[in-house]
Amino acid sequence: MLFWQNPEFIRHARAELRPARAVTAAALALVICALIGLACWASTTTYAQNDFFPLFYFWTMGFQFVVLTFWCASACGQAIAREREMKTYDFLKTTRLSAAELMVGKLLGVPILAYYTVGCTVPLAMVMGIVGGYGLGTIALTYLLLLALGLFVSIMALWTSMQVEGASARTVGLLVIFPIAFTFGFAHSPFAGFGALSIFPALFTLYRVNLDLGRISPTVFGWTVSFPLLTLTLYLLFGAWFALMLVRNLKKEIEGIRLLSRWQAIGFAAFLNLLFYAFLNPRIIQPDSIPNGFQSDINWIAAHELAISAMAFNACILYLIGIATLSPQEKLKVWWRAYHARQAGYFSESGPPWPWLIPAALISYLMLVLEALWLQPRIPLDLWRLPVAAAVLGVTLVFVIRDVLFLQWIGLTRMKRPVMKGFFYLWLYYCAAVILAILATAVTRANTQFIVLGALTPYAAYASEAAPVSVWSGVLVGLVIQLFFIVLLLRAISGRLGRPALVPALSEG
Amino acid sequence: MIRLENVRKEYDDLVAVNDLNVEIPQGQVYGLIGPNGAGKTTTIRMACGLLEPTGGSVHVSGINVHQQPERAQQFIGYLSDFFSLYEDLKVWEYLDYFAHAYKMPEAGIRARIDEVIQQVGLEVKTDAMIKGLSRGMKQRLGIARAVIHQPKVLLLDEPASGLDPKARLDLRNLLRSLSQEGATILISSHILTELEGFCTSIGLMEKGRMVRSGTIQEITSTETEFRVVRLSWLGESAALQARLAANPKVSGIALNNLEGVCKFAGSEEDLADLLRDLVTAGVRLVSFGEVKQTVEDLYMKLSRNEVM
Repeated sequence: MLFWQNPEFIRHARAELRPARAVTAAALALVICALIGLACWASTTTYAQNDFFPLFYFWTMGFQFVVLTFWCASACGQAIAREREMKTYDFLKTTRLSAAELMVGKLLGVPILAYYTVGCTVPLAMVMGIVGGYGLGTIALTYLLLLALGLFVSIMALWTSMQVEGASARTVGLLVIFPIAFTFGFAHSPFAGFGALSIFPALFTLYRVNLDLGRISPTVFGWTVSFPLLTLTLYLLFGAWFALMLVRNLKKEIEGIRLLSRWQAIGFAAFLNLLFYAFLNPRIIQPDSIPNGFQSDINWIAAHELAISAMAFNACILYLIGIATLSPQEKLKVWWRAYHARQAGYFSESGPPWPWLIPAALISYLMLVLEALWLQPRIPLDLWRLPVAAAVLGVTLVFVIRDVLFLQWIGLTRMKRPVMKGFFYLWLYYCAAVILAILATAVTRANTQFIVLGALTPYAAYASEAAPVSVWSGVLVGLVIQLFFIVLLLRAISGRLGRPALVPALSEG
Repeated sequence: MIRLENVRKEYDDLVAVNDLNVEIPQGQVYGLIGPNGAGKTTTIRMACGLLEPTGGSVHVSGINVHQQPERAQQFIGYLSDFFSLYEDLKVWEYLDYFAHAYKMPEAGIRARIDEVIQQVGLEVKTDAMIKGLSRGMKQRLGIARAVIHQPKVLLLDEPASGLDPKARLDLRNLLRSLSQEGATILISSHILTELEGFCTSIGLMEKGRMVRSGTIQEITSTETEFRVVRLSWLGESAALQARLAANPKVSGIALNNLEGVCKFAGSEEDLADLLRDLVTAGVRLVSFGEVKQTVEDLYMKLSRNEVM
């Protein structure tokens, strides 16, 4: 089905673009452009008249950027939550529209007034850009990037809207803009490619606005790639993952949502690891010390530091996939009964998520080993300190399993928004651990913070170089404690699942 | 046409619907009644694919609703009790949207919209914005939406709430005509008079279980050990009182001024004999007849825990 034939798209187009509203929106957009033009004219008459057209072009583009980004985030952020609230969503779910058709219709239809408003000002901006001396190709690529950004923001906001209820949906939808803005900072990191998740490096490179950024070239497996191309590719790839999660869950009740299947989660972990190593510029990986003649102004990283960084990155990935694969309460109960009737295995799709974290961790470690083997001609294998990385990953895995099991257990309670509350409790726990470590150091006046942090958090394993002996003793104590908690949580989950459901007794008469 | 097999639904630790087995043949109108919390809405939501059952299966037209949802939806029309419409659309646009969403053939959509609008009596509002419609009109539009794709199965959860008496009558007529055209209807309602004389079968639900299921006649006959006879007469009641008391099959005599009721534990022939006996004894009867048990009586019995 072509998108303009999609009933959901047509519905939004009909409702949003009634003649009166369309004329008003177009007129308002053009008035704002005229005001921008006047402001630019006023500033250039004072300084440099030649700058009027480029300045007008940039400000109009900025206006289009703001309208498109915020409108898409806000409108898509409440698209599903509001329909649930209005009780219209049930009727949509009982039509023959597939989840994919529903997603496309909403993605393009919900923010259609934003696209229309921006579209009204595009010809004017293009003329200003061309007169201002920019090539048609540059301008066309700019609008392609803007369109890709609009779609990416929309799909992220729609994804959040699927998972939240009530009036907070719009606010949560708007939050999706922040990661896109903050990833800009990655452009200056050893993983410059991740900076392409923000549109700014691409735009700044296109228009050579920022001299500093102009010198940065992101690499993919050592090959230099331009920021605009990378931005488009990343929006496409991450957009595909968001689309997958939407299609899986769009027609489900909110309680039954599970973002990814087990295998998809492992695939997602492998994908993120692949990006990690792809964006890593191999030239900046060095042996233990800075080699002679190495440019000191260029970021560099020692091989073993990279190995530990990769494990830290994988801690985040393991958390993400652990959360994405939490089993809905009902599915877990059904699995539990089937498991005890020997009709389902422990690694079943509806079973507990924690066993699936182990293959994801193994894949991440395997990819680190492959990276080390790839760079072996330049960096000897032992400099990566792979056994230490394995130990760090093992410790991380234990903590992640504990936290995921805690979230799974809390999901079985009768709390409202259990996962959010679970996050909050975990956050409180980690804050308490840090405070305890600070207090312990203050009282004992020794490096006891590593022992405390080692016992309560995975942090100490990452800081093993700072205080090798005390760290690992703390870590070992911590592992024993965490394994005890894991057993406790597994028993608690079993206890909850094993409780027979309450069958209301029929009245006697 | 609709088959629910061992359907079970659990919320947290509570069983909302407990191993429900219902089979509704084509053309039947099946009324689901029961007190609040009986599991009627959950059952209907599972039947239309909105809720996944914890156990068991739901088949509509032989298609498993939860395994092939998009295929099954072409046969299902669903309407819930409280709902909203897309207020920023016109009446015809709303129906056009759902006709396309149900993937009806393009050529027949315009004519079908006109037909349905006529059926629900919204002809003069075809081009009106939905936000300007009254609550009753919106309810009618909701019904039009549910039947736009000519579903073989209609699942209606309290469809008459918010309708005025005229609209209720229209709804009843519409559902009756759809039933005559071969549609199978599963309807839950608290307005029990609506189900009376309209449903071919009913199911009484209580606490997630189907406690009785069958035709109204079947259910009422199993529920009553005796008939209730209402009579009225002219003149003295002493002879009447005496004759009734003398009959061993009569009990619970309650006679007031010129009218009364009694319980009769006999067959129809025995009842005819009682009537002849009274007339022969000189009682000037004006009316004499069995009081048929209504769905409402059954419902009240259920809510007073008298059905078990």
